Amino acid sequence: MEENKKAINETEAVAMLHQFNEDLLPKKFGKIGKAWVALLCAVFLLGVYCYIIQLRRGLVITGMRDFVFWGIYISNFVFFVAISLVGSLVTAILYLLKVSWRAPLTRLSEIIAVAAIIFAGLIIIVDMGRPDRVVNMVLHGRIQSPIIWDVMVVSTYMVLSILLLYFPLLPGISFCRDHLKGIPKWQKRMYTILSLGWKNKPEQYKLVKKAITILSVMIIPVALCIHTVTSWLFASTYRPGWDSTNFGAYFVSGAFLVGSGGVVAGMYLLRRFNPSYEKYLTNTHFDRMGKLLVLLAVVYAYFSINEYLIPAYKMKGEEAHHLHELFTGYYAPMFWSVQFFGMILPIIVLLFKRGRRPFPMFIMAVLVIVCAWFKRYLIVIPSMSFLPVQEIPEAWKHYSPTLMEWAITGGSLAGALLVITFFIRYFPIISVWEVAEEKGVSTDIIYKHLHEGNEK
Amino acid sequence: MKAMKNDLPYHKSGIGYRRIFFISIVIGALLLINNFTIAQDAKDSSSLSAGQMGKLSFTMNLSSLVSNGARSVKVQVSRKENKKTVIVNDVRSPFNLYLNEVKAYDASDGTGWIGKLNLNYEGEAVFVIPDDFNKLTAGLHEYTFIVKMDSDPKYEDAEETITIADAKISIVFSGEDSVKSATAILTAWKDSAYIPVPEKELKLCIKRTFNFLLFGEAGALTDSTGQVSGDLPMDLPGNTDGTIIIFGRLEDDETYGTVEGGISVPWAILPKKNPVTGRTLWSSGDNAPLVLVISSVVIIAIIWGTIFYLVSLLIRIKRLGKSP
Amino acid sequence: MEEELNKPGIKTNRKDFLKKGLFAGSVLATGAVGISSLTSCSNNSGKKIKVLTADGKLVEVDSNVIIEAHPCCAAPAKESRKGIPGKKFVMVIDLSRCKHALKCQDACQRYHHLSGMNVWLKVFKMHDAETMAPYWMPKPCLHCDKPPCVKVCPVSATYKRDDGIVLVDNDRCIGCRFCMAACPYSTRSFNWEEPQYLSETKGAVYSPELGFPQKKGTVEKCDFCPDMLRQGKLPHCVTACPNGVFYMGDLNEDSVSNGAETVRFSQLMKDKGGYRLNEILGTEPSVYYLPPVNRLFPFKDVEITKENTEETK
Ligand code: SF4
Ligand code: SF4
Repeated sequence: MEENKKAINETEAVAMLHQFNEDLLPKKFGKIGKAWVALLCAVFLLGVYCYIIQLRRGLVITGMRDFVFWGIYISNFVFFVAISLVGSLVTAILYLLKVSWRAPLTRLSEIIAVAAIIFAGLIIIVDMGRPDRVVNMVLHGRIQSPIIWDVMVVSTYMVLSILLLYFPLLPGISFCRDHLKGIPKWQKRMYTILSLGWKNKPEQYKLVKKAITILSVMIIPVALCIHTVTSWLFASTYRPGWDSTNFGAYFVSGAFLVGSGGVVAGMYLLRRFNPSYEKYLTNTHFDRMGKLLVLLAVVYAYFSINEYLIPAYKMKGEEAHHLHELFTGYYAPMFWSVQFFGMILPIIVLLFKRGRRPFPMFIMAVLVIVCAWFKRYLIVIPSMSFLPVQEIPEAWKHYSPTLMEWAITGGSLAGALLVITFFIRYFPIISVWEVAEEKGVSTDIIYKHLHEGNEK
Repeated sequence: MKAMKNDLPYHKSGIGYRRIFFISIVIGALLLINNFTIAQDAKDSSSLSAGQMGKLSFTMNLSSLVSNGARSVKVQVSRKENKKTVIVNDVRSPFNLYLNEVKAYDASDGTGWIGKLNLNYEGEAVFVIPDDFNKLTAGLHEYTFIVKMDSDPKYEDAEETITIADAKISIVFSGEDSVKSATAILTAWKDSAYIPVPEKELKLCIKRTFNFLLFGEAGALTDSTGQVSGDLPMDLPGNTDGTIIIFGRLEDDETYGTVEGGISVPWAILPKKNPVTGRTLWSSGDNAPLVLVISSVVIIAIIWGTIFYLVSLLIRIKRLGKSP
Repeated sequence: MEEELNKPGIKTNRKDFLKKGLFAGSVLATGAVGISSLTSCSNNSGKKIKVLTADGKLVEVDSNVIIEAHPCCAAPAKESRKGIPGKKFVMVIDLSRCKHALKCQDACQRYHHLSGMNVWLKVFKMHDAETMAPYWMPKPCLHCDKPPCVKVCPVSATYKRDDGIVLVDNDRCIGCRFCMAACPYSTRSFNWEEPQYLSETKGAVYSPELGFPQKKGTVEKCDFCPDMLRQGKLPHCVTACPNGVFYMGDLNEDSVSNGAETVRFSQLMKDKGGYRLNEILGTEPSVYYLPPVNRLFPFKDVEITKENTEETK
């Protein structure tokens, strides 16, 4: 693709733009798409229903008790925060590094980030015993508490992510407004309002570009913060497995890994269900992402080793108890499979060129995501169970999530997927002007011709 | 009833508490009728309604206290159940207290019915005899208190008497600045005057928050002049003004009941002040460490300032779209 | 001072009751009769009554504020954040006297109307290594001077008072359970469902000093019975223990009492070698332990009962 960069004349470029526009306009869902939406809606609504029951009866419907008082809600929260970090990675870091193949991936990663961070916020409310009192955090907030830091940094990140999604989207929305035919009235109105009267003026583009640069710089520290602060929720306690100074880096590296896995899986599914994307999400993209995944997995492995090896060398009282459970005890099967399938196997497979083809990549990405979810489970739960505490009912000593808990957690995951799905349905998931720019179309041509429909 | 409503713990959260609310109104009404005796054993008492079974009997234990002239009588109620002593605290009808004889209140000499009261949750009730009575009964030097309880649905009627002879304890000090000793003198009314009582175990005490700290020789008996003395500890922290209450105490005596008498003296060392809890990580939100407050305010201001700037860019984009 | 005592959370209905139900004599709930709690005289006409406050001052208050029931001396939420002026409460637990009678726990459960699942005061069997001798260790909240639980609370629902007590405000807690994660001594419990004994505590006005009525979705823990302390009385566990294991006192007064005897705190520490739990964590607990030497009772192993008897859901 790079050879195109210089020698592009105007007619070619305009034709290319028209082609892009045609390919990348959001399309109605087919049967599979509809079934997918219906499934997600069903799971999501089931989650909502169970949450209503939880509101009425209290957290007693979960498997949590005094002994293991944080469960899969919290591990799911950590998972969401982790996966949302990818927005900043692909959009901001790769943007600032001027990586040439990032343009088609930005919007996908940004919507994953937005969906995940929204549901991270929601799931933490689900975990609260008194969701009716969230407002206390504003009324009586204590700046000394890591939770308040987390609330601040998560909401900041949410706003920044939405902005970073929104600015480059403006030309796309206005294009949809002007060129999508036969759409219901509300959809048209939505486009009209959201496009902010975009006219494709060079001045408007300039502002958008300025905003993207500012955002890209700003979102990186905030993104690092969300996950670091989330790790502090654990690291600021005395519990074995949490009481670690390595936790921030460990969480962030894990988050980059799972986020990139999310983008790869998204890329694959987009291509699979809309072949016209294949031109934009090429095998090269997969190859590059594959290399990136290996790098991230290696970094993650480095921090994981730090996290477990040195405590295992010291074997401090409670810590030893905890590590024994992980390495050889109750949690050992889960622990080792997560390490192997979520880290070691992807590294091995993706080191080979053949492993970086779309389908094997997709499998690896799914493995990474699933293992990442269970990894969060292993970070959160075993630290509380198996400590030698007496005087509590036997049943409290082991935590296993109840069906309701699974349903609510599943509902939140479905909800996040639903947000992504609807976004793909109504907005262009690949940014035309950014892709065009990356392909060497001069900005003047883009400003002039991007907005032309090709319905002639 | 309005007040009750506000007390409901779940009143505000709204979901499904209507039933609880209704039940609580009913309970509340019951409580009102029952003089707010918390119906801990509600089940018990209904199954034991007077018609079916005999009433339960209980033991009253009376004790008297004279503290610097202020008199009080305490009733402790218990009963035996399977050879175990259990507290009785659900007697519904009040306990009446009489002085000298069971009759209506006689305003001329203060005898007769003095008052009534209910047991607390520990199965105890304390009558503090009002000052007025002490004045009225100044001529009396032997008090007979009668406590009566009747017509309770669950318990048999009961009556108990205690007779207390008049005694008092005074305290005097001697010695230098650094070594001081206190002497407590126990005297009791005999014929026409207070005379010393020998051979009684008199304790020298210092008042502390929950109890009293003993000093002097343990188990010392009064000598023929009714005295017991002991060295005062001079290194003890007292009240914030450097005072300390020292008293002598005769405990649970057959004739005199419990008698105590004492005085506040300025010989204690000043207590340590609690360290002023400044801005720490564990103080309240308004008392957060300044470094934390300033740095977070600065960071938030910078980031959100930029966010507002970005939003203003959106507005500019919109304006640009409008202009031709 | 008068301000202080006039505030206790008493509602109109209780006042009415007092007017109707009593003629003479205030009804004070007293465990130990003595100057300590009872130098009070009532006056029929003026409705003024003298009360000895917890810091040893005689004050005159309206007789209406003194009520019969247990909740009489708990301060309302705002007041409860300050603590009792001039006090610094400490507890000493003498391990050599504990024989796992669990009377402390029973009393605590009863007076705080706790359901069987939420246990504030636990008695652990300590047997750290094969080579060591087992002993029983009661463990309330340690009311740390640098409490990690308070550090992390996002809404100041749990707070450290000037008198050393760490309390939880049930009306403010958002149920995030971060404090449970932060407490290194696992003392906190959570109301996972609607508390069981709501009806028992119906009339009571909630105060953080009282600890009841409990509320669903909030955290609770041992509170050192501040309502008792305000009356100059010992906490329930202290009075309930048949073996005098618990001592409670004021560090500023350098005295602690277990009900039967009162001793100087510094002397006790010196004579018996008092220590605090996990000093290495830097939490600086207000609860001191006396080592289990020269034990009064031979150690008799008992299955920890709570484990199986309570219903499990
Ligand atoms: S023992 Fe636990 S709950 Fe109690 S003050 Fe210390 S940290 Fe907080
Ligand atoms: S659970 Fe309640 S008391 Fe504990 S930290 Fe959260 S808000 Fe504070």
